Amino acid sequence: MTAEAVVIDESTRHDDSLHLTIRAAQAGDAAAFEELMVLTQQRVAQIAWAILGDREDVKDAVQETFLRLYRFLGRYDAKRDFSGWLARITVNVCRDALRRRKRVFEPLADLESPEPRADEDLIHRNDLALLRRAVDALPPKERLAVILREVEGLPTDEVATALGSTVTTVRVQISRARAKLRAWMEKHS
Amino acid sequence: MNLDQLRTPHPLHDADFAAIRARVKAEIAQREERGWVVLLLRFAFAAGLVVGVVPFTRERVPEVPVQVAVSSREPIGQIGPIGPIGPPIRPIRPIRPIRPIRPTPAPTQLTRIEILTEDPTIRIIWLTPKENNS
Repeated sequence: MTAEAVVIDESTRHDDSLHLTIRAAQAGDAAAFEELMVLTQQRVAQIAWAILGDREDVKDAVQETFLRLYRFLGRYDAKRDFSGWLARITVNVCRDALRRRKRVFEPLADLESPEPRADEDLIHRNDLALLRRAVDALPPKERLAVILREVEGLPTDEVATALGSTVTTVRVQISRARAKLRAWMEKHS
Repeated sequence: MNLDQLRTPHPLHDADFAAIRARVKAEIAQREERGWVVLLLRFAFAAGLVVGVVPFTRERVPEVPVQVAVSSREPIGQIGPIGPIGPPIRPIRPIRPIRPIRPTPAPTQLTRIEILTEDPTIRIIWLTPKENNS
């Protein structure tokens, strides 16, 4: 048996186990729902971390995602991709968190201008920090597409499901975002 | 431009996840409890409506006995159709007098003739007025 065959076999076994757990949780099995949370918590936390970037916000987002998962699990169709469906719930929770955060904390000047401030000169020397700032300055939809596809490495179809759009739209958004990032980096480096 | 360099592992630990799962379960239990209370309140409200309001509405609408009287007297008149408010009301026309009710003839006696057929389930019944001379 080749290494690839072993990986596929493991993946199939994992999928079967996941689907059995989902079905049991849908039937109201509390232990199965607990298991579903354990199986998906790392992934949910990783997506939330990539979008929110704050530990406490991530904890709140994971909790809210699982509460929504419980509420909407009955509507989940087993024919659909569960990972994409769960990613969509997570992204929606993070979007709500970002909206709340902007309303409360972010000053208007920061929203209007992504220009770096003088006291951040040290950070600008670091290309990575600059790149992070560039990603944060993107329009929300393009930012999410880039984070999920390019940073987290999710498949394009899963990103499309998570964002509630099509694969073509995601590709266009990423292409535009890359062009903007390149221009932003050239301007600020 | 390699964007996956931006990928950093999330900072949550097993203890964080355990606490999150515990909070989720507690919240779900609380919501379900609240759901039962709301359901009970709704049921009580519906029952209250049925018990309290329905008899009240019955009392408010008394049943009016319907009386039908047949008269052979001359009619007084006829009320015209109710038209829209504004135009003048047409004069009331006298209606045709009701014909007096004819006395019904005394019921005649009937002769019943039964004819049996070969089929025991079929019988021919013939009813005819009884003749006086018979």
